[in-house]
Amino acid sequence: MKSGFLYISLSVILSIILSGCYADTVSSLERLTVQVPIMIQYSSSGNSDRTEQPMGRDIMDLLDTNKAYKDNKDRIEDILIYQGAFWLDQTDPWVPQETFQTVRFFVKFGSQQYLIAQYDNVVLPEYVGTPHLSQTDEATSAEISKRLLNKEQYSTIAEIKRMPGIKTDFKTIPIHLVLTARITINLSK
Amino acid sequence: MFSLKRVKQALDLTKFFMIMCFAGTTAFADIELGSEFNSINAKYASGYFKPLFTSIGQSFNTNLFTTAKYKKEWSFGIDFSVQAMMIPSSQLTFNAPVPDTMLNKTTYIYTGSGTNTSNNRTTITQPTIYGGKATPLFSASTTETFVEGFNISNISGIPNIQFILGIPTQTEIRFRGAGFGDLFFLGFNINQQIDQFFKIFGKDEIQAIAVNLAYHSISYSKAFDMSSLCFGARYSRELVEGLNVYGGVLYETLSGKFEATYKNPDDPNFKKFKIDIETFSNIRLLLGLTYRISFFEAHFDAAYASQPTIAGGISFWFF
Repeated sequence: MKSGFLYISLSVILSIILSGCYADTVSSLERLTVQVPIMIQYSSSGNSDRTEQPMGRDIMDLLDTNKAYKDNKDRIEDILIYQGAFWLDQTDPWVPQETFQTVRFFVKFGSQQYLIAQYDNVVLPEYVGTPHLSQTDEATSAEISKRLLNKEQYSTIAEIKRMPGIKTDFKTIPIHLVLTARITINLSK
Repeated sequence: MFSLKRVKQALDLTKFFMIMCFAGTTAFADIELGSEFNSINAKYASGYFKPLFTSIGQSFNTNLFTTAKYKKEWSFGIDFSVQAMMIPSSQLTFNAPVPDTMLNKTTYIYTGSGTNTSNNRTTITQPTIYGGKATPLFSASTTETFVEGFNISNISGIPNIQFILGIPTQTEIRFRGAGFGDLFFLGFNINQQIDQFFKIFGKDEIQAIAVNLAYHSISYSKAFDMSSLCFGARYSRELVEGLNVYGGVLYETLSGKFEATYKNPDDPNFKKFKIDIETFSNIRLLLGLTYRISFFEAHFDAAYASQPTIAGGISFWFF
């Protein structure tokens, strides 16, 4: 009889463990993450050792052109900037033979700005038609996501830092930046 | 009208399937995929969904039996059982075909330690439905992104409510079935004790050998239709009164089709896909324990298959 109680108890414990698996499964399955590309094209020019300029169209506007985003707008729980590719337009006939110290891209909320991509020692001809990839830090992405979903005002900014001492003009550089965003959709909504 | 809610509450894996298939859809007669699945075509879907189909197939063929010993008398009972499958790391990713837009181009992927460049990439490692982050594919003219997995390392299978009929030929038949609108599920398993035919154990009544043959089928309208066949053999031994240990080997198959249309296809020519359902699992080795006291039986087993499985349940015997 004692062993009977033991096995009944074991079966109850097993049921609890397995029902725990069921609960975990259900919650895992309610959130689907899809990736969408955000393409930003703009031109940069300057004559100082550090140029900072807005990138024109903002991330949310650009996301709005994506069907997966648009169709699921009301049930999106995260917009995490993931990877980025930066290159110069292949079709432009002119590219300066210059090396920039850094090219950095930011998302700026008020006075706080978040680095989303950084490229060091940018030898411009090497970037013509050749995407160079980077990945945004996860904690930074999570913070940006929170603020984007809060509908806070922001701007996207490119910063070009030239090698120390160089202040001559550099003509218009046609820049391509593609960011991929990981969008989490709550399927149960 | 088909009640999606009822199915969701009743069957976990089926809920998964339903969520996946019906996300963002309005018409239930056919499966429509929302725009979040636009990056999936038939070839991609085969690899992406294969571990899920494996889980469904494996859950069909779980809790088919306990001990190999059957009495020469009529019996009838009802069994409630559950199971969980561990997803091996090999089923978290697959070699996905590169989209047509990226063929014959120089493509780039980020590897964590740098950029991987290829002039002739035809496949790319991507997550299956159970995997994690997808890898975007870049080129100077196009960027392709993909749907991610659900980050699942273990999954509960379809729970079984089954009726058990024992007949005096030392045969046991287990029957499972459900129907909700266009969704139809049917399964049965025949167990037959065989050692007495060959007098393997003589008058020893604590050991037994049995074989089984199972068939399961699940279909939903024209959208999916899958069936599984399973057969195997096992040995059991009574350790103390009412407590039996059993172990055996099973061979199982899964086949069928899955068909879906896109709700908002980017390409108007690319409206529908149809895939053949396949499984990673064929061979399963199983070891279990069952304890019966009066009308109550509790059972538990662990199986090594492509997705290792633990299962357990309780049965109530009316006679």
